[in-house]
Parts: sequence; C-alpha cells; structure tokens
Amino acid sequence: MQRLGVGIHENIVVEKVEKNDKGNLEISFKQIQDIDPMALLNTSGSGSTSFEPKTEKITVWKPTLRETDDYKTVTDKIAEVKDPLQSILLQYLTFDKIKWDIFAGTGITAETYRTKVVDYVETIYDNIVSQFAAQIKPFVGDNGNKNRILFVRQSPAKHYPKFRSRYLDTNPFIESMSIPSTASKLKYTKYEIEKSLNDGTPVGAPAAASTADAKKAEELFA
Amino acid sequence: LYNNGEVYPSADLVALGNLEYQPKNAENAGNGLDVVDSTDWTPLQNHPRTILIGFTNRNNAKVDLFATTKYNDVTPKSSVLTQGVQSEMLLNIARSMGWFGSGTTEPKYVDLQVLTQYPVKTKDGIAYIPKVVERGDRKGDKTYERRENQTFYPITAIIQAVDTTASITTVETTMDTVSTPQSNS
Repeated sequence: MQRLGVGIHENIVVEKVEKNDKGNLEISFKQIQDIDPMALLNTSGSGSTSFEPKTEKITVWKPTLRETDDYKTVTDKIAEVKDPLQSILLQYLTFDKIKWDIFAGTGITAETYRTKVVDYVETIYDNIVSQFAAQIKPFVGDNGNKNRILFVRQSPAKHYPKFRSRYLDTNPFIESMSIPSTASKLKYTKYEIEKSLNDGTPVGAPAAASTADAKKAEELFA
Repeated sequence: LYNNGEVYPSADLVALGNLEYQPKNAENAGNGLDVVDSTDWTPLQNHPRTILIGFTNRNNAKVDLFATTKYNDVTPKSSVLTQGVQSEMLLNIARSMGWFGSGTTEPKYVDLQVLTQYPVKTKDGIAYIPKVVERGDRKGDKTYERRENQTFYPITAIIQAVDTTASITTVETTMDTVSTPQSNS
C-alpha cells in the first residue's frame, strides 16, 4: 500500500476514524484517483504497479505534560489537539453545527480552570476525540466530498506526517477541492521550509546515502 | 449601476437584505453584498454564466458592495441608499454580460433586478466564493472566501426582465383568446 506521506495532496477523503489500543485517535485518509489502467501500465514506476489508492494514517497524540507546565501551556497543548480536528470538521459542517463540550465530566468551571485543567487533560483529550469521531462519522467514507490536505513532517528526526497544529486560521492544512489549486491557501511556511518539515525523506536515507556514495566515488577515483 | 461604476441599491433591496448602515456600536453591523460570477464558482461552473449576489454580514472578509461607510461619532454619515459605492468589478461584469448594450454609446445607467424567485444555496451550507486579491504581491489573483448558510440570487439587467414579461403576457393573452370559444361551446 502506498502512503501519501509529507506533502500537499489532492482528492483526499476521510476513510476511517478510530482510537488505537493506547487510546490515541487515528484518522485514515485516502486519495481518490481515477486511474487509467493503460497509463498506469505504461508508466515506468518503482515496480509496484497498483490500483490501490494512496493512504495515510495520522495519529493525534494525547498531550504529553511536563511537571513545569502551567495552565497556559496546557491550554496550548489542548488547542493543538482540538484545532486541527475543528479544521477537518469545517470541511463538512458549518460553524453553527459543530458542537464541543470538551470539559464534560471534569467539573471544571471558569473559576477553577487555572488550577484544575492540568489534572484533567486525559479526560479532555478523550472528550475531544470522541466528540470529533461522532461529528465526522456521517462523512467517513464519503468519496463525494474531497479535500486538499497538507501534511508536515513530525520533526527533523521523524519523517512521518502529521497535521499542522498552530495558527490554522492563517496557515490552513486542509481545504475543499472546490477551491481551484491555483487559488489554494495550502503552502508550507517559511519556518517549516527552514526546518525541512516539508520533506518526508527518512533520516539517514538520501542525505546519508549520498554522502556515502560521494565517499565511495572519491575512493574509486582516488 | 451607472456607466462610471457607481452602484445604488433600491429601497426594496435594502429592506430585503438589511443593507442599511448601522450605528458603530450596533450588535449587528448589517449586510453588504457579495457579487459572484458563476464562471469562477465551482458549483455552477457547468451552467450558463450567471451573476449572483448574496447578502453577507459586513464583518465578513472581502464584501464587494456596501461594506463600509463613514461615521459622525457613532452615527453613519449617510444612508446606504444615497452613499452608493464605486465598483469597477461589477461594471466590468455588466459590460461583459452585455447589460450596457453593444452600441457605441452606452446608456448612462442600467437597472439591475435581483431574481429572488431563484435562490441558490449549497447543499451543506458551505460556499467558497471567488474574489480577487486587492493588495500586495498577489494583487489581481483569484482567491476564495468561505461563506456559510448564505443564499445567492441571480441578477440581470432589468431590460431583459421587461422583455421576458412582455413575451409571457403575449402568450397568456393568446391562450385566453383561443380558450374563449371553447368555454362558450
């Protein structure tokens, strides 16, 4: 099965939404393609000719807290979970139809938020992902509602893709395919490019290989 | 719509779309108008070219017509009926649609009619409508703005509407004439 990986991809639908055995949310995406079998067979690919669509599974991790985290940091970490999910829901629903009750069962109020939120991050995470799953459910597997999506590299050390999670109003990572690609707002930020977060190459693969190759070449012609 | 690009709404349109300018501290800023050329709007791209307007809250980004006014303290300096707005975009659309005719001398103005009997809404209430970037490096490029739960209505030059009405009247009159002997028989 081919993976979408880091990059900007078109004609993407949500294929599956589930929690894994560790309780983290996983969202599977699939690329809808109208594949021409003759063109496919005429293409000189990597030896894996297939009608199988490209897919990608993105894990939305529970926030990892440090002992020093105060309510502001925790709020940021909760937002980094919720905001990308809200962005996905907005591809299918208007604002007035998206409902969240992320503090359900915590007893947290406006007065106690600053002191209690740190203790309830897991419950809040569970609320967010279960409420997201319930709201996205009617659109899972709906091939008629296609999106364009941008995945960033998890970190310089980890080449797997993830959602962008901050400043999504100005730097969206998902948009409807009804917006022509020429007017797309999906692009990598200067920061992401500087940090090579737009590159899904595994650590040590091409860069290390090319260095090694260069060394071998040097030895050969020495 | 005047041939210099000035646009003024009718009192009926102002009432229908809540277009009047509101005091600065008003809870609802009132509406302006989005103008959409179906040529660039994906849901209608396979249909004959149509120009549509939509009433949209003034606080939304990139409202095409009647978006802003000036204030005396908190009170609008003028009514939307008399302030008008200059719209090169609508003028260009009107000319390309032939609403100003094809003669060498343009009429000074053309009346536009909003066809409220043909409302257009997207199925899920989400519409990404075409706009043009007005400033910066991308000036002139197309961009798309999101609107929610907004109804759009086709507009046309009123001269066409008069022609249509006239032809319908003729048909009805003819039918009446034909049916009269039958009802007598």
